[in-house]
Amino acid sequence: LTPAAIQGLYERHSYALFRRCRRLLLDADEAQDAMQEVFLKVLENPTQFLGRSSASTYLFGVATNLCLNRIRNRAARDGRWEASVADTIHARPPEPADAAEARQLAAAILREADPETAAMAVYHFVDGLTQGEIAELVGLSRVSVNRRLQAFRGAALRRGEGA
Amino acid sequence: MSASRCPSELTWTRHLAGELGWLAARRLRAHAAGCEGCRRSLEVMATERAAFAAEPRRRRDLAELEAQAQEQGPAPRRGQNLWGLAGLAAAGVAAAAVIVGSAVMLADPIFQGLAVALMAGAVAATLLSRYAVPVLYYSLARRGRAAELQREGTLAAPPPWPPAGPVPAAASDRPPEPAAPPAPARAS
Repeated sequence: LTPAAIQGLYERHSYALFRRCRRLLLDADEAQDAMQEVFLKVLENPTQFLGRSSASTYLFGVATNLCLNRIRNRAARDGRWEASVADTIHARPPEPADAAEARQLAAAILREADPETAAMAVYHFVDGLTQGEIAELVGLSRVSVNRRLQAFRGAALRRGEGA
Repeated sequence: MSASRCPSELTWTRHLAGELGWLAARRLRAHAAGCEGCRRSLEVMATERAAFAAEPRRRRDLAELEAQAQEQGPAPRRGQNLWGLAGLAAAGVAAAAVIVGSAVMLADPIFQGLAVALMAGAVAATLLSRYAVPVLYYSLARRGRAAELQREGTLAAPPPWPPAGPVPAAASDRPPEPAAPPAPARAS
């Protein structure tokens, strides 16, 4: 990647990535740091980036993973994150989750041990992406995306009832 | 997709980056025309993006990134290392097995022609996959990379053929920007 290519990438995508990070991190300063980290990742590993058909989708996925790492590393603010994500999930029309269910799903995203599943849950429940889009982001088939999401949801709700 | 379900923010982002096809782009514009919520978030995004671009911190970030890029030097050549030594050894062993196996047939007066063909085929296939396939891969990958750079605007589009007079740089390598402003977002 030449400096000119980086400049182009940065100008085109930095705002969208900043928005993406801010939405997950709920903090503009931290979102700015995370956004820059996304570009550092691309610099470290340009080959992964070069083969992609959609730069936006690839960068969006990298940003999501980095933000989820940050969220996992800051246990202190989790209560706020959970509440905000629960609101987002609850506010989306096609997802018939009631408020309690939305809270359980938000809590389950934080607890999820597998980063890939956590990211998929964020894509589906928080961002409202289609399963086709999620499949492209995580590199799985649509069928396995669907299966993993069902399993995630089932486990989240079961655990919520048990508590 | 019905009007009741608004496109995700990622979809709008891709639309704004010009990554979606003509049909999808038209559908999104139609949606924005009919959806108050999406139109408003597109406006918010457009305003915010302008403010974001003007922020001084942003320049500093970009300068840091460029410094980092220069430290790392030129990107490693791609396509060079498709075949490690291990791959070469494995293909060599496979070819040798075919050659040894068909050597038994060489003694047979009728089938010795087949044996020769098998041996020569094994050698030819190994050489082709060692040399021809990486070259093909590399030239294809390079073509894809050039298209990407053009989309990013860092590489001028190839001049029209036949070249007629001075060619205006830029401007020609991107489809016309949609009339509708950018994307929706629930944040802020």
